[in-house]
Parts: sequence; C-alpha cells; structure tokens
Amino acid sequence: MSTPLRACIAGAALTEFSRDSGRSAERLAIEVATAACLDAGVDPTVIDGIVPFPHGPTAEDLMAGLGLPDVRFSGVPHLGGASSVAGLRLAAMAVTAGQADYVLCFVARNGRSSSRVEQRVATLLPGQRYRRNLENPQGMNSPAQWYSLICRRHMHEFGTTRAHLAEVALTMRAHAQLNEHAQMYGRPMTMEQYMSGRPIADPYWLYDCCLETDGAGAVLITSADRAKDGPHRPVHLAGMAEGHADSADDIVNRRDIFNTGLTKAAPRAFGMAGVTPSDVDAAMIYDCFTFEVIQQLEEAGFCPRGGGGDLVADGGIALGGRLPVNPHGGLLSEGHIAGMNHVVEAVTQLRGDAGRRQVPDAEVVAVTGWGDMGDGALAVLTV
Amino acid sequence: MSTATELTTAPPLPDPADQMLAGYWEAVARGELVVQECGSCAAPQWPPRAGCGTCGLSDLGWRRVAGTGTLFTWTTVHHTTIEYYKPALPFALAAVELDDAPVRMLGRVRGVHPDQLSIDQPLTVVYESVAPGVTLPVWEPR
Repeated sequence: MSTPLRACIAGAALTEFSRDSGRSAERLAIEVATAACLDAGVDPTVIDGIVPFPHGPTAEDLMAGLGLPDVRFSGVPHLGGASSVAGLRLAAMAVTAGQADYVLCFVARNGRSSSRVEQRVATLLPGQRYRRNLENPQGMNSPAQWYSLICRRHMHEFGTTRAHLAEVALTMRAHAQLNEHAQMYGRPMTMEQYMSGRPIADPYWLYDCCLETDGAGAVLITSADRAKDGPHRPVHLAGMAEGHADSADDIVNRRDIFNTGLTKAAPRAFGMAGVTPSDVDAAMIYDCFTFEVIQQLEEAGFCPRGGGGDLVADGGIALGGRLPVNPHGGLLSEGHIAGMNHVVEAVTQLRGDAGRRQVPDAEVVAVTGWGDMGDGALAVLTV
Repeated sequence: MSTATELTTAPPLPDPADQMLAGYWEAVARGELVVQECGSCAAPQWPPRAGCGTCGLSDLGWRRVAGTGTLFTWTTVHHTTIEYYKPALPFALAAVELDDAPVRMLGRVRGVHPDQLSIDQPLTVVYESVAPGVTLPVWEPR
C-alpha cells in the first residue's frame, strides 16, 4: 500500500496571459514564483524544492534569478501536458518525506510569440524515432493530427458528433466571459462562429483547438502545518496519480485506443483521496482540444465510456450544470500554459474566490492532465 | 540549414542509418512490408522496438505481411507546417489495421478524396517515391 501524502497548496499565481508577453520566459517564471510566494505569505528564499515543466525555464533559472540559497529537491515530470498535474504529486511526495519544505511547481512560456506547439512536440514527445522516421515523412507532425485519430474512432464507436465538440468549445468560451483574466474575455462565440472556423485536422476545426499563450502559472506546496499559518485557506492535495497508456510511445497501437494514462490514474487518485467522481463539485479537464474533454470525462469516471457526448450536451458541463468544467474557460478560452492554470483555478474555486464564476460550495475539485501520446494524471483537491 | 527550395522538394526524410528501423526500410525498398517479430515468442509488434513487448529481452526479426488492411481511423489534414505537403492539402492520414498481424500502421491515403473514406474500408499498400532513393509506403483503396 502506498503511504498517504500530506501536503497543501499554500500559494498560487498567474501572470497575465497574452499573445506577446514582451519579456523572456525566464522572467515570467521569476515573476510568477515571486507572486505565488507572496500569495502564500512567505519569502521566495524559503523555496527549497522546484518542479519545472519539461519544456521551458529550468530549476536553475529560478535558483539563480531568485537567489535561492539551498534547493535540495528538484524533479521534472515527463508527461507532456499532464506534467503540471503529475508534478503536484512529485512535490507532495517530497514534502511528505521531509525532503523539502516548500516546493514550487511552475510553467512559464511564450507559447504564442516564441516556442509554438510544433517546435515543442519536435523535442518533447517520446518516441522521437517513430515521429521522425515513420510519421513526419508521411506528413504527420501535430497534436491535432494525432489526437483527432482518437476522436474519429470515438465518433464511429459511440456516435459522438461535431455538435458535442461544439458544446465543449462554446461552454469554455461562455465561461471565459466571466473571467477577466481570460484571453477570450469580452469575445463571446456563437454556434455560427464556431461552425465558420476553418478545418485543421478534421474532425478538429479551428475552434476545437486550444489557444497558444504567453504566460506563466505556479503553485507553492508545503505541509499542512506550515500552510495553516498562511493568509489563505490551505488547499489539500488529497489524491494524486499518474498513468501511462499501453503502447506508451505510439497512439494507435494500443488495442483499446481509449484506454489511456488517465484510465489507469483516475481510480488511484480517487482512491487515495477517499472520494468518488460523484463527490466532485467541479472538474478542471485538460482541454487541449474539444474531444479530449469528452474522452477524459469518460476515462476519469465521470460518466461511462461513450457517455461523454451526453454529459457535455445541454449545459451538462456549464456552470450550474451536472458537473461544471473549467469555469475559467480552460485552455480553449482562458489560455494555454499546459494546465497550470487549471490547478490555479482549482485553488481559486476551493478558496471561494472565483467571483462571478464561483461554483457554489466547492469542496472537492478534480484536475486532469493529458499529454504526449496518451499520458494522464489526476489530482483531487479539497478544503 | 536547408534552403526553402530543398524544403519543398522533399518531405522530412527518414534516417536510413537508424538501427532499429533499418530492416523495415530495406524491405520497403524491395517493395515489401514487414512488421517486427519476436524470435522467442513469435509475437508481432509495431512500431519496432528494442525489446519484445510480450516477452521482454529477446532476438527480434522481421515478418513479411501482405500489405492489406482496413481503415481503423483517420484524420483529414487541412493545415500543415510541412512545405512539401502544402500542395497536397487536404489529405488523409490513416491508422491501418493490418489483415495478417494485430498491428496498426500510420500512413497517408491516396487515390481517394478524404471525404469518401469510411471506417473499416479495405486498403492496400503502394510505394511512393518522395526523394531520390527514398520510398514511403502509402495506402490506397482496394
């Protein structure tokens, strides 16, 4: 049996999100780390553990830029977009084991103005041998192409439709209208506009694809004892797990193409937290593309496999619906900093600080991560 | 650095010296399709790997397959960052379930408009020259 992890998020912060930050990703990292410590009521020099995202500024960039005297733990999760959620577990393990007192988990990047997605996947994805030799020569080189293969098969097997994908996109956009921090704040979208987007990798069209964003996010993780003295209500990391799909480096050669990392991780995370999906008040789902929301809702256990279309239809994932998803607007409409904004939104909701987009009485929030060739992670956060 | 002209005359090319895939490319050059096969338990696997996913460390070889299969799923590419493929838009990239081995291969589909494709449709491999000395297996309806 695994040892229970006892750790809290004491501080959380985001920079502004934009198409061009006008400063380096390293500068964004230092700004957001400082802001997360301020939010926790501690000086940045208390940071003695760092979990960076696998692409972008490093632990060393923070050590040097913040003058951290003695960082004694660092670790980099390698689950692509699931790394932000998987990293929470690394940090909690370090804190629980007494290997670090304050671990900063962060993502900082100029994802729109500098390191765009096709550049990142050319170095970040596992199985580069297959990407470079078997896929790129055939014309395949983007996440929209890889992931839309799963979407098409899901449509065939379960009757999922473009109307379901639209429901996800429009819900995320509507939520962003309640979030002044969102890149799509003040830019509502109609079904007509959604349908008028150009095709990218059909069944993915323009508005099925997330934003590319300059910005940063960070959370500061420490023990419950230390967190209780902070200015905010501590958010408990109640359950966390990562999972890796069969055929982990190749997306189409798992016999069951829908059985991905999250399928394995979700029961472990819920089990550790002692809750079930039906206890969850709000879910932050890694919405790199619209269909990935539907698939992760299924694989995390919020509905049966094949039931994701029905769950998102008719406002099911909107604020006030059966399961509010991404009240901040998600990667599709708030901004894309690899899901660290989902973690920060979970904290905001659990503190009761989400203003117009607050989920009433939110006490249990699940956060998912999806990345690489089907890696997954899930964290259950509670107050 | 490649010049713009070079970029448009060929797609990204496979590395002929890649040890794990060399046997595959040798077969393709002969006009044959192969999958990796375990010398111990005879399990086929794709893509080729350094060990057998069924029984672990063992001698790995190649098994010739017929080069026929069915369409498991596909994506229709309307936007590409690869210059060579821009004139070919839109085109379909398919996962083809082979008829005679439990593996799926990713490849471009030609000879049919992407809108005419349907899941489980029978396909057959053909070989397309994309650069001097470089042939890629692609798929056509049969």
